[in-house]
Amino acid sequence: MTVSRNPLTRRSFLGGALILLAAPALPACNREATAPGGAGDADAQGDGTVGLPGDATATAPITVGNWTVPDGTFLTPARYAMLLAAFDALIPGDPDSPGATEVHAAWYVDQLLGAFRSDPPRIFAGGPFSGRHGGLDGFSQFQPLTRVEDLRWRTYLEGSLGKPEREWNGPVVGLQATYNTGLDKLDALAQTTAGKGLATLDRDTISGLFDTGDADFVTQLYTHVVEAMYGDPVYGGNFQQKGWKLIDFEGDRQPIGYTARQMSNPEEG
Amino acid sequence: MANQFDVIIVGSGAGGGMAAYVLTQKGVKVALIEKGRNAYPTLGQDLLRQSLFGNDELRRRRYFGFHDPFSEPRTLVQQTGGDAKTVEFQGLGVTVGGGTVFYDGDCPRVQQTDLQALTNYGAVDGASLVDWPLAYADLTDHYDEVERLVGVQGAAGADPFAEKRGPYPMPPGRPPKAAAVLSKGAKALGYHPHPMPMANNSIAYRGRPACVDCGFCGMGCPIDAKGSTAVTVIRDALRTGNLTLLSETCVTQVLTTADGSHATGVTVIGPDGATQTLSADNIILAANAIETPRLLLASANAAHPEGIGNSSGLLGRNLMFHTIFAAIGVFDDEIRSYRSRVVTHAMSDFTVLDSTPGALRGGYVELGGQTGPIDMGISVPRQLHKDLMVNGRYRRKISSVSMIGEDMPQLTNRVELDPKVRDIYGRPVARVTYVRHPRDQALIDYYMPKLKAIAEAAGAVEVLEIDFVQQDGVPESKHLLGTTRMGDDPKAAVTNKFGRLHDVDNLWVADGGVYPTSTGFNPTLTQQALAHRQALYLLNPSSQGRVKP
Repeated sequence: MTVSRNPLTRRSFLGGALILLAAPALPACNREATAPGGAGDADAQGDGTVGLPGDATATAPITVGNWTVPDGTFLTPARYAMLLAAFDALIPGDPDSPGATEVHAAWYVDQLLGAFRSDPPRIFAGGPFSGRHGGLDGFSQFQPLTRVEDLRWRTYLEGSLGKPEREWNGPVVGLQATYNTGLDKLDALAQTTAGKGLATLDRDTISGLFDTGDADFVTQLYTHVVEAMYGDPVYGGNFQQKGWKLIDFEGDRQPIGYTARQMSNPEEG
Repeated sequence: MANQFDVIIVGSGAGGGMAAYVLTQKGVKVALIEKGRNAYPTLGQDLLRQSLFGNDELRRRRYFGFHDPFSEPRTLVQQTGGDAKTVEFQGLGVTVGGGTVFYDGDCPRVQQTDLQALTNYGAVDGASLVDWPLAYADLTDHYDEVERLVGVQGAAGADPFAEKRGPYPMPPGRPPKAAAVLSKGAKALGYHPHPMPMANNSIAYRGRPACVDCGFCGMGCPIDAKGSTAVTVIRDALRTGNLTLLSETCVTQVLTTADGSHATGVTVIGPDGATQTLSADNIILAANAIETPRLLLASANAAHPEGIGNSSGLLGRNLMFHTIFAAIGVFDDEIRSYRSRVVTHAMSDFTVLDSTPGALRGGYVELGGQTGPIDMGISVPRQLHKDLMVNGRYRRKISSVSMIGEDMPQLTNRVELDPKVRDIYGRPVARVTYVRHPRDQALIDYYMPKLKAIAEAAGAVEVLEIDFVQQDGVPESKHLLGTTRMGDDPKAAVTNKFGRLHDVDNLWVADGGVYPTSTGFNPTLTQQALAHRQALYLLNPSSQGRVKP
C-alpha cells in the first residue's frame, strides 16, 4: 500500500470499507448524563473538577481539571465551553481512557484559530526533532511563514474581510467565523431541541444534535478533534501524549527510530 | 538578483534537480526556480544541518512543503455533468526537492516491455497507445548514475523479471515484520518477492546517515537519510557555485520570440511579490505533468495561440495516474507496519506478458504500506472511533498488497485551464478531465483476487479490497504522467525523444509529462534517468545523451 503518499483521500476509502465491516459492532453510548456544570466533567486530571463559565458574558478562567486555559484564547469563554462539550461528545473520555477533553482538544482548536496571536504564528512546528528521543527540541520553535503562506493562512483563518488580496477566488469565510457561527447554531439547536445550552447538555443529547445539525460543521469538528487526539503535543492537543498512549502508538521517533528487533517483533511492544 | 542564465529550470523535484546537477557539473550557470520554500537552511554549506521537516503528521496536513489546495485549487470536470468542481487531489511536494522529499523512495527500473505498450497490447479502443521513442538500453547508464547519485538500496538479481543489472550502491535495509509476513505469503504461491529498490540509505552514504526506520517518510526525512534530489544532487549543484536556487518563486509565463520558435525567458513572482523577467539560452520545465502543461497553456501568445508547443493539439492530453489498488490483509498478530520505511518489498511476477486469452499484463506489486493515526482516525466512522482506534485491528494489525497498474493513455483525459477559478498568484488553475478506461477497470478485476490470495497466504484473517479512487472516480495518485508526450513525429507528440518541445528549439520538459505510456512501475527513478539523459544531450547533442559517447 502506498497510503502515506496519498494521505488525504486514500484514507477515506479505507474508512468506507470499515463502515461496512464494523457497522454491526456499533457500541452503545453508555455514559451517564453529566451533572450540572457541563460536559467538561470528564476532566484531564481525573480529579473530577471542572470549572466552566456559566454564561456568555463570563470572563472567569476556564479550567479542565487542575489545568487553567491560558489567557489569549480566540474563542470567547462561552464558545470555548460549547466546544469542550461538543468535543467531549465526539470522543468521550474518562480517567482510564482519555478522550477529547483529556487531550485538550478545544485548546488545540483555539491555538489554531488564534495562531497569529503568536509570532511566528503557531502553524508549522520547527524541525527536525521534538527532543523527546534525543536531540534538541526544535518542534517548539515555530517557523516564520513565507509571504504566500502568510496570506494563505490569514485568509483561511480570518476570512477575506473585504481585502482584495485575499479574494483571489472571491470572498472567503474564515475558520474563525466558521467556528463562531457553527457553535452558535449548535447551541441554538440545543436550546430548541433540549431546552438547554450546548455547554450543559449530556453527551448522548449532543450526539443526537450531530445527526441533525450542520453536517459540514460536524465534519470539521471531527477532523479537528482527531487532529487534537493524535497530532504532536506542540500544537496544543494530545496533552502528555495521552492520545498516542491510548492507541498504543509511539509517536515521533527521530532521531532514534526503531531497532531491528522492534521492527521484526512488534508483538513485544 | 541576476536575471540572465545559461539554463533556467522550473521545478526542483526529480527531473529538475537531476538536470541542475548534470548542467552545473559542466560549468553551466543554472537558475533552479522553485515555487515552494527551501526547508534546508544549510543546503549549500559544508555541513548539512537540520531540516525543517519532522515526524509530524499535522505539518503535512497543513501542507507544509506540499501543493496547497487552498492557495492553488484544482478543478475536475465531473463525469456526471455540470460545472467543473473544485477538488483537492494529486498534490505533490512543493518545496526544494519537490515530490522526492515526501515519496516512499521506491526506485524500480522499468523493463524493456514497459516501453512498447502498443506492440504488447495492439490497438485498444479509446486508448492512444504508442511505443516509446527509446529503448531500455538508452536508459541503462543513466539509471546506474542516478542510483549512485541519490543512493539506492537493493539486491541485484533478486528480481528475476528485472532487466540485467550490476550491484546496487548499497544493500537492502532492515526488514519489518510486514515484509516477512507478506513475502512468506507471496513465496508460498510461487512468486518472487524481493527488497524494494529504494532511495533510502541502508548505510551511511555520501555524507548522509543511514535510515532509522522512524516510519514518517511521507512528512520529509528529518535526518536526510532519504535520497531526495534536495539533499543529494541539488546540494551538489549548489556546491559547484554554478547554481542559483530561487525558492518561493513562482513562474507565471514562458516567453518566446515573435515567431515562437525560440524561448527567451520566464516571468516570475519572487518571494517579495515583485514580478520580473529572467532570461536564458535554454529553459527546462519540470513542474510535473499537471503544472507544466498548465504553464504552457497559460503562456499562449500570437505564435502559439493554443499554448506553447501545442501545434499537435496534444499538450495536456493523455494524462495518466496509474491504476493503484490494494488488498489489505488484517492479521491476528501485531504488524505495526509504521515501524519501517513505507514499502520495503515488492514483486514483479505480474509484469510478465502472458498470451493466455483474457490475461492482462499487470504492474509492480508493493508488499507493505502504512498510514498515520490522524489520517486513520479521520477515516474511521466517528461513532466507532474509540473502539477501532484502541483495538488496533485496522491500524496496528494490517498490511497491504498493492499494484501499480498501467493505465491507458486517452486523448480525452487532459489538463486545461479553468476559465473561472484562480490561484493565490492570480493565475488560472488547472482543470482536469479524467475518465477511467474499461481496461483499467478490467485490470483491477483481474488482479484483485490475486492480490487477495497473497494476503490470505500470508495469514490474513480478513482482507479489505481497496480501489484507490477518490471523488468522481478519479484515481488517487501522485504519479502524474503523459501530458507532454515524447515521440519522433511532431504531429503525434509534444516533445521529442530527449524531451525537447517539437515546436520550440530550446524549451524542454523534464517531468513525468514526457511518458508516452505509464509503464507498470513507480516513475521517479525513470524521470530522473530521463532528465539526466536530457541534460547530457542539451550540453552536447552529438553525444545523443549518452553517458559514454
